[in-house]
Amino acid sequence: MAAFAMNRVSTDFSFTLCIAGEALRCNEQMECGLTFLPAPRIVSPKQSARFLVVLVLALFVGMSIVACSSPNENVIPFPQVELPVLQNLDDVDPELAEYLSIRHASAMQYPTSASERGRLAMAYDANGWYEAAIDTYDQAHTLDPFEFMWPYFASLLEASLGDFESALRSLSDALEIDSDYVAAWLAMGTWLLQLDRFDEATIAFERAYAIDGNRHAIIGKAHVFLRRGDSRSAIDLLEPLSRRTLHPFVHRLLARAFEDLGMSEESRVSEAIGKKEGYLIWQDPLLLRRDQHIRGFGGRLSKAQRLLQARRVEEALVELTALRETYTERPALVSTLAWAYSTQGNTDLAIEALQIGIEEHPDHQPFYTQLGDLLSMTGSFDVALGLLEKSVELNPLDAEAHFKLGYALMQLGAMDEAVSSFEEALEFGSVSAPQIYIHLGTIAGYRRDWNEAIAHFKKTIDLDPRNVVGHERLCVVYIEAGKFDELDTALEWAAKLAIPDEEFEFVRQYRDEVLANSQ
Amino acid sequence: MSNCNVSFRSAMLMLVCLPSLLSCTVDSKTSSTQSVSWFEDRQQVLGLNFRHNSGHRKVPLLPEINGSGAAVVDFNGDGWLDIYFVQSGSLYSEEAEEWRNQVFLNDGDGSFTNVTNSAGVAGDTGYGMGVAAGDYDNDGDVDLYVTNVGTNVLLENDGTGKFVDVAARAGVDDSGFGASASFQDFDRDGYLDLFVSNYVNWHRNSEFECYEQGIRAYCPPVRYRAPASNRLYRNNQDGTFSDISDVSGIAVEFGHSFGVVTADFNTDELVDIFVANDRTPNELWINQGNMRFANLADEFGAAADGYGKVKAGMGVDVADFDHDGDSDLLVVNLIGETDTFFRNQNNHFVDVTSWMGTNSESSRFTRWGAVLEDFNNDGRTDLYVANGGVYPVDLNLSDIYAEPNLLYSGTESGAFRLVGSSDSTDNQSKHTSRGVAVGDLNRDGGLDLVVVNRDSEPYLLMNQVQNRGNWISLELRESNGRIALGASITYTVNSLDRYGFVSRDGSFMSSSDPRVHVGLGEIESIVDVRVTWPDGQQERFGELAGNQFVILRQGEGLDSNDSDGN
Repeated sequence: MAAFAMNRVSTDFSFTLCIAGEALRCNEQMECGLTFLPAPRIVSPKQSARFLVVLVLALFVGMSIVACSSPNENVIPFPQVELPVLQNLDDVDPELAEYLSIRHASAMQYPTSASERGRLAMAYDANGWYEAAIDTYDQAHTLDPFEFMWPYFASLLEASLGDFESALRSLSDALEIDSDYVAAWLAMGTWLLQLDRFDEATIAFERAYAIDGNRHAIIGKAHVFLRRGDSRSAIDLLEPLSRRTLHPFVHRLLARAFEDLGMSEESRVSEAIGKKEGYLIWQDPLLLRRDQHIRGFGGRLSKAQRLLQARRVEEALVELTALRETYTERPALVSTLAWAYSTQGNTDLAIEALQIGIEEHPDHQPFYTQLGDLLSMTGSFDVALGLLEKSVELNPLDAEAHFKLGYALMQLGAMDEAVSSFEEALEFGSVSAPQIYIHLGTIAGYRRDWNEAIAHFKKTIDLDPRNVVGHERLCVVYIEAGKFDELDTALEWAAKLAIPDEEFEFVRQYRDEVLANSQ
Repeated sequence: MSNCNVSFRSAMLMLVCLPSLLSCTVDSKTSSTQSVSWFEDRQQVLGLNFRHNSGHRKVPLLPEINGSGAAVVDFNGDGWLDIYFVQSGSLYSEEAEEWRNQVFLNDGDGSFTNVTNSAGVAGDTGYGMGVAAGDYDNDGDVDLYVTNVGTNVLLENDGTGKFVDVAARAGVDDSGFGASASFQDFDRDGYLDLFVSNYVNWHRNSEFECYEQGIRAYCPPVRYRAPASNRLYRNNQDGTFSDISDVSGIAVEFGHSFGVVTADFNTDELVDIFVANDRTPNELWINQGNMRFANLADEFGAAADGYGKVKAGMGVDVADFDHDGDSDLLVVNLIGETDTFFRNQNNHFVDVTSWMGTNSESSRFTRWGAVLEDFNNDGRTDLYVANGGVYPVDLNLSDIYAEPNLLYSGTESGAFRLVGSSDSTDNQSKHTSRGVAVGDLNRDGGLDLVVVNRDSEPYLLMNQVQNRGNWISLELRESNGRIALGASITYTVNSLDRYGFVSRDGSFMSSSDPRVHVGLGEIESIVDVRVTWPDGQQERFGELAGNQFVILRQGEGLDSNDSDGN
């Protein structure tokens, strides 16, 4: 039986249960019992519960010894998890295959070691073998019922696979072991909320809050209020928080609550602040333990990219540099390396990496966009232009390439061509649309077409309500066009969106100058 | 093997089930339903010798994972539903010509004949995705619009099942990465207009590297940062269309569009459009009249789920599952995400997913084609969902993306209860399923299913529910003889008011039979049948006896000019 197909209730193998240093052998008839090891509830997490668990296990052991006397049975003293990487997996990254083999061999060598089993589980988990990982976490938890990580990681996986009921059971096991891990309570609250189990969700969020006053717990609780239709209570929780954070999710929730109560202006403001995409993600330090088991090119590259997104450039570069020693020619590696170098401020190295990449992969279009963009940032617009033209030639549908080409053209003074490129970018659904409208507005302003400029800057603000540059330029154009009433309205709106007043200091100065000169 | 006796097992189960009652309940529920078989896969027996080909080689290219759709249509007007399969093919030019879409005529005797070679250019060799059916030229036969990765084709039917590609001449040869499409008369001028969803502005030169389990895998659409806009074409009544994507408002939105379903969501007698988007907000195009549309998905609460989460929308379908006289919505999503059931409250939707009974099973799979119909004719809407991964599910299987499909029976409360996995058929295999089309292929009063499986043969699931209830199949035709897409119908069954809407779209990149199929249980007729035709005219048809196919023709009702129905 393949590891992937292994059910949590396995019927193929016997296995060993180790309690207090002693191994107990059970045959297949026992396995249901292990699978359904008594699941401690969420509450009463103290020593008494641990005692109960031990008591139940002892009872289990005792019954097993009595019931499982089969002298001729071919007992295999290990819960079998076959190595999937060794079967029909010619394409699997050798480094990853080797690592899983090592982890598996180690688990085989120490069959009663929960930590070895847990490492194997983390290796499966971190590299995408989720079903096998869940089974193996389960085994690790059986071997050591007092280790928090195994049921906790299992619960995260189960939830990610959509099995919230199993996830909640595993998480209950974990919280029985350590009831002070905030991320676990937040996860529990979130999943219970998904299942519309509001009372329990509230309890989970309150537990999280009691531990460290976690703001995510406040948001979670407010979310429960909203789902229950108690918008007033949700506002009472969210409003103070909204003064401390501009996280879009908080403001989106607040907007919904205001809307429910018919507070349309407040809702409009919160809706605008919350327009950007983004969900709350809380810190979960334990995940670092799991990520240490990531192996293979794809996994390590993804890890480096996550590090870069978290602005942990140096750590990312360590990983990427190591990868480059083995996988020199991979386009994704070259792109990510260039991204890391440029984030670090080492533009020359980034350019060099991309130039080599283009030599090796002359038809890989993203290289041209990336290199053209980098050269634009260094002011080499004429060189960038050629690269970006090549980019749109290779992929005429790439909105970002059109956008960056438009920017280079704009910088080179080719305004008509720039406008055409920007329009192409918008037609192909550029995700940089707010920025594009700023450029279009700027070009219109350069041409003293104030109405068109206003329309473009308004579009920027419509798409990205807290875009400071958009607000500033709109205000300047209002001044140029002599539309001072509109300017006042725009400044008021910016203030409502919590854009710092100092951002508009020069706008006010300029307005005063213009007004003074006109008198 | 073991000497453990039954009493020990019982004791252990007692011990472990007390604190884990829920676990045991779930398992017992699943096991008790697996013996039920509602469908029999008759693909091989009935001569449906089609095999989907994704063209996948070593390097994953995004379109390869989407699979394709199918249409269930009576091409030759003989009263039997035929089948059209969209073939993906190959993204490598040297192989592209080898793979064609295929047409199977229903012989009416329980078998199908592959007539692709004699069906003109029906066997299009573009890299196929989806298909929409409709009589766009009002000549009395059903034409096809096939979406491709590359230029789409409009296959005009000459009435005998021979097709000519007129896409360029008609002005609908969009060259994007097409997905679903739908013919509807959005401006109520008596001619079908066309909506086409596009997935990603994808190009082979920009394919990215993504990995799962140490192997190259398909990237999620957001990786490309290239959401696409959809297209709307107005029928010019002369065999051509005008691309009005910009002026209609449709082109202002960009997303990763997949499933499309049309219905009159705000009950203003104008046909609206819902688009399920993959990891971008869904679109709800409310028809403003005069071919202007406004995306009111946010306002209606359908852009994201009830928690504000933008899910990976794949397939979609509508049904009035709360029986309040309007179209409610189902969007099916990626593994780890629940389905989203949107209950229509006329000017907004409420996410009622957690009450619908599908959460615990469905979110374990990635769902595509979804069909809300009454398969056992008990008067309750059932649900069939086609599943298949986008990331490797099991590297040890020959099809590493294979997942079982799911069948739910409707309950009295309007929720669903799991009948079983694909496996609610007698076929225990699982594949990477994608498009699903529905229709009564053998005219026995039970709805059958055609399921396209990526890189495999399709399922032809013939309904074999034991003791099916009574039924009636309603075909609505306008005065010009065309199927009345966009019409709605109300009727009363056993003193309960019911509602239906005529369309071929929904599910995933597929086109189904537009007849309104009504399960009656033990009831023998429906009464107070009223039709609102696409042009707004209302007409009564009185009482209709069950267990028959009925054609309701515009102008042949009891009182065709009685607009208020009295």
